[in-house]
Amino acid sequence: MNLNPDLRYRLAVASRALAAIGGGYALSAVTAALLAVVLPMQPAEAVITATLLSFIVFCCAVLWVFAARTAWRAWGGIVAPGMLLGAGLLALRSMS
Amino acid sequence: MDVLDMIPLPFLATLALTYSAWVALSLAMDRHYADINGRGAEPSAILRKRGRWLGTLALTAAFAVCVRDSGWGIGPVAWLGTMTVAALLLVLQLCYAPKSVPRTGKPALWLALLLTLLVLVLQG
Amino acid sequence: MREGFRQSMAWLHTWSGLLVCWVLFLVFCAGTASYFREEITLWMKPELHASHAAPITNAQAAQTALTALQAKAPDASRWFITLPAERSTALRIGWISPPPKDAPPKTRGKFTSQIIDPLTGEKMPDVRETRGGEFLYRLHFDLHYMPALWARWIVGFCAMFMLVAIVSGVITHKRIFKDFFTFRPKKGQRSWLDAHNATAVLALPYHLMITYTGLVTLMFMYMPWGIQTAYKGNQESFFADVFPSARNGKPAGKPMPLTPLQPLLAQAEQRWHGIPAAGITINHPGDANATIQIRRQEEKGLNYIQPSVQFNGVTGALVSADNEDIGGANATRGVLYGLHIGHFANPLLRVLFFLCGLSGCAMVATGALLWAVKTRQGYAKKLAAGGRVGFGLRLVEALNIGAIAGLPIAFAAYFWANRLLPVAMPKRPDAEISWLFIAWAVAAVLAQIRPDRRMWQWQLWVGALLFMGIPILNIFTTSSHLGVTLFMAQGPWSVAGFDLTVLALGIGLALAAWHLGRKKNATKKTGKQGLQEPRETSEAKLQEAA
Repeated sequence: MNLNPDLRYRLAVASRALAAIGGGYALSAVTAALLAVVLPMQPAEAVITATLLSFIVFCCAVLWVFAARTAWRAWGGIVAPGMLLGAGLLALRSMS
Repeated sequence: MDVLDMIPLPFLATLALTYSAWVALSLAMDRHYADINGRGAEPSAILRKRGRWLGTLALTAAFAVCVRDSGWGIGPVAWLGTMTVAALLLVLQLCYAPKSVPRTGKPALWLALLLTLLVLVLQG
Repeated sequence: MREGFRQSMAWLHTWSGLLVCWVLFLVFCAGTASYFREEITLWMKPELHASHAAPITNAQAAQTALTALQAKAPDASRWFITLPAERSTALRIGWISPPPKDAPPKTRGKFTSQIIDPLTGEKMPDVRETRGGEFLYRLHFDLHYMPALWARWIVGFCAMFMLVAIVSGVITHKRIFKDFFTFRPKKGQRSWLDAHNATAVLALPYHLMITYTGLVTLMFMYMPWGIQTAYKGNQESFFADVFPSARNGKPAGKPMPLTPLQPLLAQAEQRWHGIPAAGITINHPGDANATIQIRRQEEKGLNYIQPSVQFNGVTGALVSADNEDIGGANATRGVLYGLHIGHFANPLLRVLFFLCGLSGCAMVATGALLWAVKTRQGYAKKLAAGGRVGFGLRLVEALNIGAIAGLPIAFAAYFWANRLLPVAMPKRPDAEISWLFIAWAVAAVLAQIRPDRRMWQWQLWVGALLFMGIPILNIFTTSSHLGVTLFMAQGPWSVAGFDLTVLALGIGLALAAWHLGRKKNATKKTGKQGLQEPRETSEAKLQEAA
């Protein structure tokens, strides 16, 4: 793509912001959802633990997105774990 | 013992201990040693070691005083809060009156020892 | 973002901080004030300053409250009683009126609350209506002039940004140990950075704690997905498990008299080995399905979750004892929540929290100012050649003045309005709050018109004079001013404390304004508008920022 550098920079920032905020939230949400049913505790306890941890996951996801050297790695680091955890959730749901 | 009830001994002891600790630790640093003793002055290796040991010891003692007084829940919280205030005080002192730091640091250490002893003895 | 790790974290730190710093400043200032919300409310109700006669037992207070509720709100669906405690000696009752018959379904009933005289049950006479410190507390998460839900999402969003800013800030701060005690004034941009670093690093445990725990307080709203999967979407069931004391069954429609409260209170306090009750909630009073829930007073521990007992409202039989055995995760949540609201803190610890909160305000303010100073320096050549700064910088500089220097003016206006508005005027609490926002709006608009050093000075002076003027205003408008509360030692101590604190904050603001006015030899050659010289010491900064 032959965009001027200013526009390219802005698009790159926008892409990473989307990955961080939107993708990060989605990743932490699916983490919370999976942990809440997988942790070997009373349901209420598992939900609380999962939710408490999810904010830390969100924070780490944001840091990852902006630390990653390329845009591919930035998005990949969010999408890949997200899909893995999502698949786990679906598997659990179909089993129960 | 009514008057003594009013004076928060553990807090004062903690404050004195953490303040002394920060003084000791800062004196073991190039920049602040130079603030007090002139540009280019560097603390000797022995002074550095002593400063760090003393500082760490005093911070640990402060932690013990806090936990002894308020338990394992509130104790660490009080310790962190007092460390913050003592550090802020020292930052201002190093900035605006660096040469006064040795003059206040030494008495603070003795005061800290005295207050800690008082806490141990009177609030056994 | 293709640079090294530290550099990318520096970029992230700047932007995650800058985009939300003005909201965060409000949240920090209002939140820091909340540590003393009960004391602020008391100050704002001078009619309550005279001390009461003999202290009253919980049983007597509860009975008075019950009689008053039966008289004032016989048809209510829920009654609330808040018993007198150490920090708030008032006896408060509240009730939820059932919504009118023709209201749409799921309409919440109207909530009314009153402070009553513990002996007569009558509404405290002529106490001026004010939301007091409670308003400042609510302001820091419910904001104002918008639905609470929106506000909480906004504040949560900003809190998450703040968490990222803190962590990225620590990662990017290479010299965190070397610069631990460093503050070098009068060095322009370097001094702003030092001030930002000092206020941030020295109170770092606090900042991390308050941000994360802030998210925890509304965690189920921000992240309901665990509940969705584990409880298959049944939120009610989850809340019943985690908040058993909030149970509120359905009315039976059959009127039955309420069982006497005294024996229940005695039973509860005996169960808690003498620790008194803090409050009573009565669900569906006068109905066959009435239930009475009694909460224990908060004990000196970090966990905010307190045991409570639930009784059948007609027979007085014990239905359940809740929260006596809390699971590990729930206890963790309770401790985190407790750390945020800080109810466990004795007055000394509360002051330490307050100082750390002020440090947080200063951290946010110095961060915003640092960015503006740094960016303005980037324009030095362009300005020297007669150019102008970009839109972004001008906006930030104007917002900085309006949001940072304007906020003390706003808060001061709130306190001034409390003293000056007529006691018996209608909608008084709303009027006081309006004054806060009117003053703030004026400051913000003026700042947009002329975002320069003079405007900073001007607004800081106004804030300083307004704050320092509060104790003086107190002399002319009440009989519980410093002359009485402090010098004649008649108390209440918290009222004297308030007067002294606002005085100190005012002095801090004045120092800042004065410092700005001293035209020292410019360290930069441009010497034009904008803040190129550091304003003041960290300490004055702390006080000015509140």
